Formats: sequence, C-alpha cells, structure tokens
Amino acid sequence: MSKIMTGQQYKKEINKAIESFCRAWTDMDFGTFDNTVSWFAYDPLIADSWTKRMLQMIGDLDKTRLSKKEIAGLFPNMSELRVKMGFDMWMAKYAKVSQDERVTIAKFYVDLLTAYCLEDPYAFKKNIVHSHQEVQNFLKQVKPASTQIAKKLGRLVSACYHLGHAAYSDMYPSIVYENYGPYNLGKGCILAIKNFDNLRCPELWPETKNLPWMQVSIINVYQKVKMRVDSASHGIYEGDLVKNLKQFSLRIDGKIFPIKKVDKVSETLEKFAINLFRKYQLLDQEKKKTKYYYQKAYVYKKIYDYLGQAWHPSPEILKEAKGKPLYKTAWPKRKKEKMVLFRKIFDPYQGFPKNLTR
Amino acid sequence: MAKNPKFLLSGIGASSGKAEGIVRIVSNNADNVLFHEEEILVTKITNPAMVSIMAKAAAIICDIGSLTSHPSIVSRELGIPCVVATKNGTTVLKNGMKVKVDGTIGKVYLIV
Repeated sequence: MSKIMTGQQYKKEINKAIESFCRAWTDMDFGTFDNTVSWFAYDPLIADSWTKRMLQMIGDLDKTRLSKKEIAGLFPNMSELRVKMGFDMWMAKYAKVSQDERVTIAKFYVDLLTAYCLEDPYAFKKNIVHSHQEVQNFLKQVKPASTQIAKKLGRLVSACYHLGHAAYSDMYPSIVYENYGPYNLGKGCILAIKNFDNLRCPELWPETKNLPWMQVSIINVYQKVKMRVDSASHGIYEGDLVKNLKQFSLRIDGKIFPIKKVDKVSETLEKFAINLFRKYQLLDQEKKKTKYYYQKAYVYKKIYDYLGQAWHPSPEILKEAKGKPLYKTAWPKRKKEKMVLFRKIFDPYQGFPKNLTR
Repeated sequence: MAKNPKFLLSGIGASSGKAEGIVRIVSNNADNVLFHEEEILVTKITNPAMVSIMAKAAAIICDIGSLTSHPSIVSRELGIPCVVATKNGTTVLKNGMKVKVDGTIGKVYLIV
C-alpha cells in the first residue's frame, strides 16, 4: 500500500474499516455488557475532552520522527489498535469537533493499520503480521501435541483471557489477549499464535506487582480447524481445538515452559482474575468510571511514555464524567437496522444520527 | 449417550461437541466450591469470577450471548460444548437435572 494516500483513498480505506466494524459489532450481544461495562454507556460521557486529547496526541506524534509502523508498534497489538480505532471514531461523533477533526482521527488509525498489517488491516477475516520466514521459524519451535496437552493449554488460555478481562475490563481484554493468524500451512493445517501480554499492570492494580509472569505465548498448529479474527478482537474458531491440536510451543516470559508445570500457572492466573473482577464489581459507580477511563488510557501508555507525557486520563477527562449518569440507548434488535445505525455513528463524514441522544 | 432425550431448549451453538451432565445454575456471585467436576454450567452470562468453574464444567449454557461472547470464546478453547442465547435456560433448567448439550446444533435435551 502506498505510504501517502489521497483524500479519496483515505475515504475508501475508512469506509472499509467501518464496514468491518459494523459486521463485527452487530455480531455482538450488547446485553452481555449489562453487568460489567460498555463503551456505549461510558465513552460518550468524556467525548469532548477525550477527543481533544486524541487530536493533541496525533499532533504530537506528527512532530516526532517515528514512522507509522513504529507508532503502531507502541500499541499493545493490532487487535487493540482496531478496537481503539472503532471506539475513538464512535466517541468523536459524540464530541463537539468538526468533520475534519473526526476524519483526522480516522486517518491516523488507517495509516497505522496499513503500515503494520501484512494483509487484511481491518480484520474482515484474519490478523496477519508475521512474514513467511517468521512463520517458518515458528514451525521450528513446535513439538507434537496430545489431547491432554491441548486441554492444559485451553485452561491456560482461559486463565489469561479472564485475567485480561478482569484487569482491563471486557472492553480492553486485548491489552492482554491477541490471536494472530490463520497462517495457512497447507494439507488442511493452520498456524495460530495466541499471545498474552501485560499480565502485570501495577499502575492499575497494585496487587499484580507480584504476579510471577508478564507474558505467555502459545504457537498452535491445528488440522481441520477454521479460524478467523474480527475487528473487535475476537478469535473465532470452528472445529475442535482440543482434538485437532497437532503441534504446539509454549513460552512464558520468552522461555520455553514445561507443560507439566502449566496447571500451577493457570491456577494462579485464575485466582488473580477472580480477585480483580470482584474488586471491580464492588466499586461504586463513580469509582468504576474512573477505573474504566484509566483502563482506556492504559492502551496508549507506551505512546505517552515516548512523548514524555503522563499516560493516565487528564483531570479534565475525569471532571467531564463526574456525576453524570451513564448513557442508555435502546439499540435496534434487527441486525440490518443495527448496521445502518452503527455506520452512521462510525462514519466521520456524516453528522450525528438524528435518532440518537447526545 | 441417552437413548430418549427430551428436547428442552435451543440457542446458538457456540462451541461444537456433545456432553452430558448434571445442571448447576450459577449466579453472578459464583461460588466455586459448590460446583463439581463435569457439571453443566448454566448462567445468564459468564464472567471472570466463574473462570475456575468454567475449567471444571462439562458444558456451558447461557441465556444471552453470541458467537463472539465471553462463554463462546472460552468454551472453544476448553474444548467443551456451549450453547448461548437460549433466552430462558436459567428458568427452564433446574439444579440436579441430567441434560445432554449439543453445542454443534445449539440444543439442550433432558435425559429421562
């Protein structure tokens, strides 16, 4: 893809991203967020100050010598980058900003995703960032799997995923959890990588300071399994992941980890997940808001570290949300109507939808 | 597998496979101690407080959810059947019932 795009090319790319977001987001059941958090209830409360902050950050990054690919690399991963693109475009529609400013935000994310992803930047079907040579190198690391091993790895994936959900909320579990692939190996086999980063986050949860592990990486070779990744960070697999795991590699904090010791890791991570989730649920509404905005801001921590600025939400952001009731919206039940409404919200070239409250 | 299962409810088959077990209805405030290995987890929707329970469950049934919801993603990783969006699983099913869960077609049967 060309490094410099024309206005029309950007518009085309932004439309592709919106199409992918609309497909993934209409596949979700928004009712599942009722007992936790949701971007559509919390984000519009801080739309003005957050969007202003994003525009400032984009301007500050423009003044650095970082390439678009290097900036993309400062996000936790590409799934999280896509999610943030969706959330920020959604939020910008609620903010008092111009069309040009909304488009600036969308272009920023288009530039990053097209610079970093090797295929399908908006994840209509996959999440591809590794070259053929890198995949070949992964294949040198794998060893034969069994049903028993697959079950142990499944429990580890579940534990890591839940910790991501508990520590960073159901909106940002991909600060931890990322699925790369499918990398087609031929003969009905695919390679899928499941990475779990940022398991410790003492800035948000001081109790994770003593968690022994920061990163888990599992390389999986499956046969007779179909995999896709959507733009809302979900890995969707068809086929039995336990019976069809043929080869694997497990690394924790960069080192090969013995599978026979993995249950202890899973058990520890499960305990942390339960503890953090329960603590979050016990917070009152105002404290939940604050925690959520800290989780949201944490995605950009490496960028703000690079810029030499504070990563956490500004007092202006917290003030904007303080005392306000959460947004309540009656979303359409039919998928087609949802698609139409979501497109109107995401699209930076359109005004605010008439049938929504701002 | 049971010979004459009676159809009870349906939803979206979110993780393929079949399993039989005893129903255990779990609320938001999940109590890990009460849940036994190979029971069927039935809840409105799973959350991280249920992570240990999910690791023990033979299958998961939820009132709400989609293919990309939390229980769907986790059950596929654990290799256990999962049916979501049953609407009324937590009211139709009762603790102690023996059921068969077919996660491929999204159906739940009572084993008589």
